[in-house]
Amino acid sequence: MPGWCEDSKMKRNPSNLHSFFTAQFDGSLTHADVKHFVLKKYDAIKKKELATGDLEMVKKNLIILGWIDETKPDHLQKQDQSQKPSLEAIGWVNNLENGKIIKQGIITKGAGHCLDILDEIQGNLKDFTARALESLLRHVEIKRKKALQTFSQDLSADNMFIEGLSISILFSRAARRHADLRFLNATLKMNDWYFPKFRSKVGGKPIIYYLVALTEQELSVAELLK
Amino acid sequence: MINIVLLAPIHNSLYARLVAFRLTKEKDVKLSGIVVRSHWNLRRIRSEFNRDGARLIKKVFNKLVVGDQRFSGMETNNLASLARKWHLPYKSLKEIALYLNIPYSIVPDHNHPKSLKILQGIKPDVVLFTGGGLLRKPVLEIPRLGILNCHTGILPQYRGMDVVEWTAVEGKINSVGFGASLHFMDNGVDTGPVLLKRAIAPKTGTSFEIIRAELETIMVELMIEGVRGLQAGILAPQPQDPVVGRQYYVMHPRIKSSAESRLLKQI
Repeated sequence: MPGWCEDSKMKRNPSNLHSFFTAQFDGSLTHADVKHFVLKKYDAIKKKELATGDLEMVKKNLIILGWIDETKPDHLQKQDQSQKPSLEAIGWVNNLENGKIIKQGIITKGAGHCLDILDEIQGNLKDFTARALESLLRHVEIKRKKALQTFSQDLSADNMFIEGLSISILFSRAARRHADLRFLNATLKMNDWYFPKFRSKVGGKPIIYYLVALTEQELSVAELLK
Repeated sequence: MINIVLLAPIHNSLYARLVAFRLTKEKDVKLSGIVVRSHWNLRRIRSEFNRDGARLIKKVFNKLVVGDQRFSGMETNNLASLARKWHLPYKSLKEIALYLNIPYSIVPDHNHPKSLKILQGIKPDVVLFTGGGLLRKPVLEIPRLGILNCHTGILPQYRGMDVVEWTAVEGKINSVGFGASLHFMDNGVDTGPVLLKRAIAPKTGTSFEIIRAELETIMVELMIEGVRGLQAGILAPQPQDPVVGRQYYVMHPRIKSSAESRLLKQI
């Protein structure tokens, strides 16, 4: 009668080889990778005076994370307190066809930005927002990188990045608001996918959005994975 | 007599071999065919690599290189210890099919027309799914009673991927727990009616690998108990409450690392 593992001696100790191959293909960023990258890019952008107002958001997050030692500027504190329900986001919902944020596999432009506002205010559209977040999470997890390659309107390459990164930022914040690690999980993957696109970039709005996305991710990691 | 077809992810799947072997010992149960998904499918490999990334290397390594040796040195219950206990004589599903003189087919995908044709020809009462991707409606509709799948998590709370790790990282080991759930498959991901559930009590110093290995043996038991129960007409599938559960996805390495430390803290 044949044994079920007679040839086992030939298969001993394959774990070293496996670890080698896994390391070659594992593109995930560690905490140290993210911190090093963000601080390097932040300094480079500041020095070249390429900063727009959005860099202030990166700075604010870096201060909260304790990665730079500066006092939070007064105007940012005021801005935090003055966030109000946005008519823009409600208008965006009203314009959705059949109330769907994903139509024929394509995410409606503005989803990341508007759902972030709606999720923050938790108003009358609370149930819609919860369903939309779940639907967006499933779409990104299943379609992966392809989910971020097309949006409902023709966009420039830069705006395409900004749309995708706004979803990453939304997921990070939703993870903290709802203490739901599934959203942080998706953010971590999305920011890994985007990394090769921004590795050598210094200028332009998308890189600043990417730094916001990475710092928002790290704020969620600090809060939810401690 | 209940008529069964087994769907398997690979020709030498130990889980599928144990289920098939055990079925041959059951009264009033007839295993009428084995359908195996071919592992040389470029489209599938690409899709799985996109989903699993580096983990796919581990999966392929485990399936094609390590084989049953992945359990060596493991002291807890696992599929290999079950194979020894039952004196499993077969190295492949093909050997079982030859022994039983039943059809054995390799298909590119379980949803492939070739797979549909085989199933339509056999007209099974139940199909046992032991892995090999998502099943679509045309396949799901063929068996008289349905397609059974055993999920390595407690349903309805934990649906989808990596649910052992998700249970740990969400701090639900003591409330929901680790376990396996036998259910009929439907169009959703682990959303079909549940027939049986069984929880395990993890021991101090355990790991996800050990928990998964233990759960795999439970999966074999539940599959067989499910077939017996359906044959005897004593199992009533319970629909899941869609509001209670959530769907989980492949876990990122940084969350996995946190899940590992939380596992040790909770046990």
